[in-house]
Amino acid sequence: MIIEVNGLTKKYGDLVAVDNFDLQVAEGEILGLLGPNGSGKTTVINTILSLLRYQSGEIKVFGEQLDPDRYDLKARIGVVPQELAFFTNLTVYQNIDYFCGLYINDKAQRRQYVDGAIQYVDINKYRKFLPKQLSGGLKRRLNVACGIAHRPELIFLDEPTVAVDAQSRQFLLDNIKNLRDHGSTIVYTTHYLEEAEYLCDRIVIMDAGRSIASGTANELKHGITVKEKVTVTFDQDYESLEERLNALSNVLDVHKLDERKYLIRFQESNSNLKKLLDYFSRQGINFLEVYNELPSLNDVFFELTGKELRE
Amino acid sequence: MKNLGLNIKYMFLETVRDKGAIFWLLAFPILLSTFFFLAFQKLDAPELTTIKVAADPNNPYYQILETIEVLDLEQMDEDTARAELDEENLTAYIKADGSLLIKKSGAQVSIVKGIMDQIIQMQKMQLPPERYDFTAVYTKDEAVNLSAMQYFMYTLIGMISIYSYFTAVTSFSTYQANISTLGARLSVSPLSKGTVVLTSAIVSLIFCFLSNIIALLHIQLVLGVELVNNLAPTILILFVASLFGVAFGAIISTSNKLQMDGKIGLGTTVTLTLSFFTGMMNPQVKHFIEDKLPLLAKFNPVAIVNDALVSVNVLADTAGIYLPLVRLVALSLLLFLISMIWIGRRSYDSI
Repeated sequence: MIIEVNGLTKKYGDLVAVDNFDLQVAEGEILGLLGPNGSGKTTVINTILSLLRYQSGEIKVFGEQLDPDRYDLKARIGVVPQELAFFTNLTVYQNIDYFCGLYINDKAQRRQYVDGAIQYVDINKYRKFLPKQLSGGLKRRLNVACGIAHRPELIFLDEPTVAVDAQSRQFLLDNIKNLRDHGSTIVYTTHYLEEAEYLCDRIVIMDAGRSIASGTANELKHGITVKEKVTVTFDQDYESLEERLNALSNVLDVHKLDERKYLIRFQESNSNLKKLLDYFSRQGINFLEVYNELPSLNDVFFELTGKELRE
Repeated sequence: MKNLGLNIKYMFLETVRDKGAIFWLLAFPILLSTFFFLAFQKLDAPELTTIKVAADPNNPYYQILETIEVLDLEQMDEDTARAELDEENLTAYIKADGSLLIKKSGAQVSIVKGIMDQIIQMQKMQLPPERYDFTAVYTKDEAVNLSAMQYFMYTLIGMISIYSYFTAVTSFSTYQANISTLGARLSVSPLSKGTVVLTSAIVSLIFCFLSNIIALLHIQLVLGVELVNNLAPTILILFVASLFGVAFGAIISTSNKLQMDGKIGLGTTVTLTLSFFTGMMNPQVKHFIEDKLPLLAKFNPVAIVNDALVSVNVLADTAGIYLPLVRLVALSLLLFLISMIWIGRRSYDSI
């Protein structure tokens, strides 16, 4: 294991930020820490990086304890913090060169690595720009480049796509997959379900400082009661419709989303849509729109915590 | 020490392109000295402050007291003196045993007391009166040909050198995880404490030293106040002063958990207080501190810089500056050492 965390508890005064938290990250995987804001994701990362003291538990990185002065271990790690963290008066190139230079002594090698990072996040034409001249998305790319230029074995990416435009976001996600494909192990925190599902080999869902579930996206989704969701918009109000839908076989529950729009959740995923359409036909119920979907990670989170993960 | 050169290069670039830092380092000393120049222009008449004292003509110290320029000595018996003291026409009455009769304490009383202490001390050592050197100890600043403007400007240079702490606070704080995200990012890199301290110290020292030189040149060449008569030791004094300013900034930055505004506020308060003790607002305060708090006077960096500049450029006394400067260097090194222990590469309760 690249990272092993056992029984980690971190308190801020009386507030328990991380509660008896376990985490294992295997070499070469992208591990997603998924949870709402304030769930403790960043605190977990900061304790692993020895920035924060903690009350109890054991943390090992590369099989060893990462103390603040373990420069040898730190040299193998890259960090992309959630907030932008670079020098405001250095150019794009100088910033990346500076951060890379903290790890790489050899000038020629460093130049190659810096150029590589610039190509990697596609900011080549901005290399002489100061950060204040960049858009929000480009600043995010610079933030990432500063953390990965030295080609670390282990990378922590703490919500790197917050406030990023859709184009930059997809670009960053694809490149993070590339990092993994080139041998890096990645710990990725996010509160975006789609990102976690698209990117991560394994996901740990966090809430209130605790790990409430872990596994691949499919494992997590299969582990919950809901197996299929169907959303229907009807042409008019039908008498006792909610009760009638609830009475159908396999239906877990029915939620009225709008005046004539209902969400029907099924506990088995066996031809639910076909059976439902047959029922509507038999009962003379007309609808304007109908679609089905498989459960999402939000459904996993909802079932585990009783609240929505989406903001 | 990994990539010290690279660190220094980029920290230097980051500072030189920071408009705020450049203002405080270069523009602020020029503005402040110009402001002082305009404010104290009227004080520039070389006026010698004298202290009104009285003694009986039969007083064994009378003859010696007559020779001390800073004292305005009158013949008076004790009863008359008491009445004059009540009317506040007199600072002190000197009794036959050398003790003082005073109405209230203050800086002038401290000076008279200091003079009498020295006279008594010298007598005990059976040294002849002509060996007494009151100007060297008590009235050095006033007794020499030093204008009020020069006096304030020397003190200002002392203050500016300590004020250099601002750059050092900014530089050292860059590396602290509890101050900024950048600090947190640097804290998780393999950047060693030694590199952090050396980088911050060297870059800050370059800027602080330049800042002092520019302020001095501005005062001398633009404002026309004659300050430098002996260039080489003056440069040495400014360098040591800058070194202390940086060390002071390092300790302000690393010794507490205050945010940047708090650290700057703390540094400014200490700098202004030390400048006040050096007589920036009232020269007599300096004498009072020298008398009542000699240890503070001895280690007050603003006072050391001020005295050293006066010694070198006004009294032409170069030999006397080395011990205080060595003291200042030692103090600076101690502060750097403590900063190195305190700075980063540690875990925090919260960031």
